[in-house]
Amino acid sequence: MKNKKMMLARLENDLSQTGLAKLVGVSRQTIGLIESGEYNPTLKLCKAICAALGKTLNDLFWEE
Amino acid sequence: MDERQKNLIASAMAKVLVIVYIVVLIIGITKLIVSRSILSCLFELIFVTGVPVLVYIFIHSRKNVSFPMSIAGLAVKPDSNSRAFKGRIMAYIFDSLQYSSVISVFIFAMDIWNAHSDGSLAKFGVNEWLDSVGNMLIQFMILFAIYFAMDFFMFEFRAKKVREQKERKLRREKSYKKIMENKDEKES
Repeated sequence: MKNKKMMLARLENDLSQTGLAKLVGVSRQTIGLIESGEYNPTLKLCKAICAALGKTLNDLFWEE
Repeated sequence: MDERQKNLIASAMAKVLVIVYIVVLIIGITKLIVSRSILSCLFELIFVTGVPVLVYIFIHSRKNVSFPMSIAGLAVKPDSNSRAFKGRIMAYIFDSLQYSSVISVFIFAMDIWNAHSDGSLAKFGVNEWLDSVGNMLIQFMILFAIYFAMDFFMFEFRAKKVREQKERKLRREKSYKKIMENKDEKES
């Protein structure tokens, strides 16, 4: 399932996929695959993305 | 290299290792039967016995796991429900298979080495080979039963202890909560 919340949060922070990838220490492809729902990140990576975007785990990764 | 790339590479390498292992096993058995000399397949023998040992060592190098691990390398749960029990049984089976197969193959290799040393390997016919393989299978089954029984009794006893510890901890937390609630009521 696509992670639109993460994409919106990234755009709110005016970050490209490459920019966010550099902040959290992964490749651009990994960010792209997380946003398209094709890769499940570890909790450690989820927390790093939340910290970079100023959001909580619930905000970005909770499925409703 | 990020976590996704590492997982991809690890997954690909595991698949390649399985394929290479099967190929080396087939080549080793073919060489042994054709040449009747253990020296001709020494490398294959070392590879076939050494790889499972190394894999076992790397998987079990995590010190925080006290139970046998599942095939996927995850710690099994000590809970009393049927799903957790089935998971533990599968872990005991996997553990026993690993130990018994490595030791049986090792004993088989030693028997072949002894036959080679005393010159009787060259006279091995189909019957002798079938005897050797049959003995190896019997040893495997006996070792499997022994390791399974040991794992079952040892780890089920430990699972029971872990469950009892959890229950005691829950009871302590409940009574502590009650005390705090009573204290709040009294203060208000």
